[in-house]
Amino acid sequence: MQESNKSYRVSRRTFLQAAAAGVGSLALAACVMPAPAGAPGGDSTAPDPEKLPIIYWSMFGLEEAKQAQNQVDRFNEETGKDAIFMSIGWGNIVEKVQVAIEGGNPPDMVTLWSQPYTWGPRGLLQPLEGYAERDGFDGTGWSPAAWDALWSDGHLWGTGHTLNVFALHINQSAYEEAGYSVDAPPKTFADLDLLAEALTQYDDAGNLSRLGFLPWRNAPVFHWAWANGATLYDVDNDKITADEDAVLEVLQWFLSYAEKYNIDEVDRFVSGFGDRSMLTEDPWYVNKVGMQIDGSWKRSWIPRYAPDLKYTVFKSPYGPRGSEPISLNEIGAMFCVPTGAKNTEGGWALAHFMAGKQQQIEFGQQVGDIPPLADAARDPEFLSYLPHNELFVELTEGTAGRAWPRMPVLSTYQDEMNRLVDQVVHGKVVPEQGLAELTAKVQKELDDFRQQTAA
Amino acid sequence: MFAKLSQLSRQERRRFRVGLLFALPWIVGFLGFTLYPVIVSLYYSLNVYTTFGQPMRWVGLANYSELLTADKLFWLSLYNTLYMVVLGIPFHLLLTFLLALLLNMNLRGISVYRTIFYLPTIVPVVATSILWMWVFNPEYGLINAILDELGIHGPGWLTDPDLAKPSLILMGTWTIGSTLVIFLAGLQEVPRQLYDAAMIDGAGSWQQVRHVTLPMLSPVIFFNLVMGVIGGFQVFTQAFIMTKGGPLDATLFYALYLYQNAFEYFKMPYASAMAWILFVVVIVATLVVFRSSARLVYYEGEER
Repeated sequence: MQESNKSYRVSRRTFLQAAAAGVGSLALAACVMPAPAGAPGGDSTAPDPEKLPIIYWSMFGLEEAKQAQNQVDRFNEETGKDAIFMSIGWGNIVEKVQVAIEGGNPPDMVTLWSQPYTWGPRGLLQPLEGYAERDGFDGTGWSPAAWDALWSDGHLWGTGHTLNVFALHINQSAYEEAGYSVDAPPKTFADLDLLAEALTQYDDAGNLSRLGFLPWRNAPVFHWAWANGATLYDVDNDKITADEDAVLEVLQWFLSYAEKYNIDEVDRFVSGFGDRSMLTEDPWYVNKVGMQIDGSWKRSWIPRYAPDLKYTVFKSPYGPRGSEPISLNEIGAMFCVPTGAKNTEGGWALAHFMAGKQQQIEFGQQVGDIPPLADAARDPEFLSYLPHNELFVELTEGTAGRAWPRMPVLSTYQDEMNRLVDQVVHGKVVPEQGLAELTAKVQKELDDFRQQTAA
Repeated sequence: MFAKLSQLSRQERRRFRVGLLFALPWIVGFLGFTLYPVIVSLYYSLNVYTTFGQPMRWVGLANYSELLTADKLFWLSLYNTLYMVVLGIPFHLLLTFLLALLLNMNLRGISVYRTIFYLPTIVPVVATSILWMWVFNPEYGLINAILDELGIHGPGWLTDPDLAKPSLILMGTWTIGSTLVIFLAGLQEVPRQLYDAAMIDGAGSWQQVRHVTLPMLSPVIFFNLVMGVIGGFQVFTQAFIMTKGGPLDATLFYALYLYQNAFEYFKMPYASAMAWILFVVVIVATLVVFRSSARLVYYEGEER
């Protein structure tokens, strides 16, 4: 019993000392949270960037991660720096980077998709135009859409080494079986309508067994609206223009499919399929869908997941107000430097390196996407690597390629458009009314943001 | 508390300090990672915050006002969540209770059955969600395959706005294992003599359940109801994984909409205001449950 009592002997002083030590340790731990790094030539007390590693969080996994690792190794060899590649994976990268930035301990370079348009103006990323100007990264030789895609609100938010380019993917066996020739691709929405009908099949019980085409599957309404001559965002006046007739007609076109093919039956049929990010569950591989809009990366997956598929790719048709094929061009991976990065200079150096010609060609070959640099895209080594590369490259040139509307409320705009399409095709909202409400709502979000940041 | 502390003997005070020292990691964690965020979120909800690293701007109740008067999705998400609570929780409780009665029987291998019913609970909810996406798949899923055998053209369980929420409630039956264990523990605490007495009085099976089991189990039912209500308001993962809030926002639950505002639209103060409204709603719902059910709960030894 004596022994037992001894074991509890903690004096008030000991207790207070232990508690104070614990709280003090926590306070000390909090004190070492890194402060945001300064702009070039800024904070003179910051550690020497030459001695810091460059932490790179990447969305790439599997084979792509190996390629990315090779490129980082080459960067280290060529520059003598110490970049460390970390594969976070595309399913987690956005949330992890966001939390890391807000927690004050981000990596020095990250890969993102279209988040920079939302994140940059909110201060989560560092504007890089100062570094770009210093190092001669000025868009020379870049596809106009790709170069546009790196900028928003007057700032450069990153670099990139590939473009996701969208086009019409055709199951060639079904296409030819229906009596069409690959030498005569569809040009307009009306051509698509005829093809969709020809490729759609029903089983003996009258249920869908193959869907010829569904315009809103895989392709955002933005893609079709541009193809019909819409602008969607007036960047000069900072106005949302979703209530244009060109957008309205696209929604009415969608609605015609919902009515013609019975939206309930279509929902039931397509809900078993994955979305465009799915690797193996694509119904187009197995002749359940005749045609679909898909990204340039799909060609690199076909040998792995559908080696027997006979397919071809056409430029995406345009609407009655359009005059040429267009394509959504999104940066496949934007290399950005987060606010609070300890080694901003190193982060930029790696991002700049990644946008080099060799990296673009290598990664374009690896993932099937298109290099933004014309020199890289038109390099014979790249052009001959995958079928239809010539077509995809053409879709990045001139006015054919379109970058997402680059604005700080893009996520809201995209989500509201998806919501509206869902409501329209299910007959819950009249397109005119829906577009008017959407335009007002997104404009208000944009105006609120401008007002709040100006205050 | 301090008055009581002063009345403790020296040894008791020492023991108290030791206990406090051991609990300190949790206390510090609670203060830093729960209480502080909760309090700060109240402050955030009264501001707007657009640029990282810049100060917030005080807007008073503007976020609350916008939520309550101008945001249709806020009300829709609240309705969707209430639907899950009002219909889902009683359904799950009833089902779990009936299952617990069955699993409380003296059968050979009963522990195997109990284990089987508990097993799905240990599967992570993300894995469960993906599994059920396939079960509900209208073309290749298990449910529609069975319906096809019966000559019924099964619906799109997760694509029909009228069926999406009931489907998620149905899926919830897979994770009733924890509640089931609590019910079973409660059932085994019911004194055998009460059943014997009831049988002597001529009570049949139903009457035994009605007049013995239910009153004796009422504190357990009440506990599970309160926990179910609190958990029901936080439904998130299934919708996040399986439906993304669709079809037609039919599964846009409150927590999912809150998440979207916070992490997709960067409206953290707006999301904080949503969190506080949810907090009030949960408190009110819990109080309603307490006030309406308290008289129905029987505690052994309690004087009435």
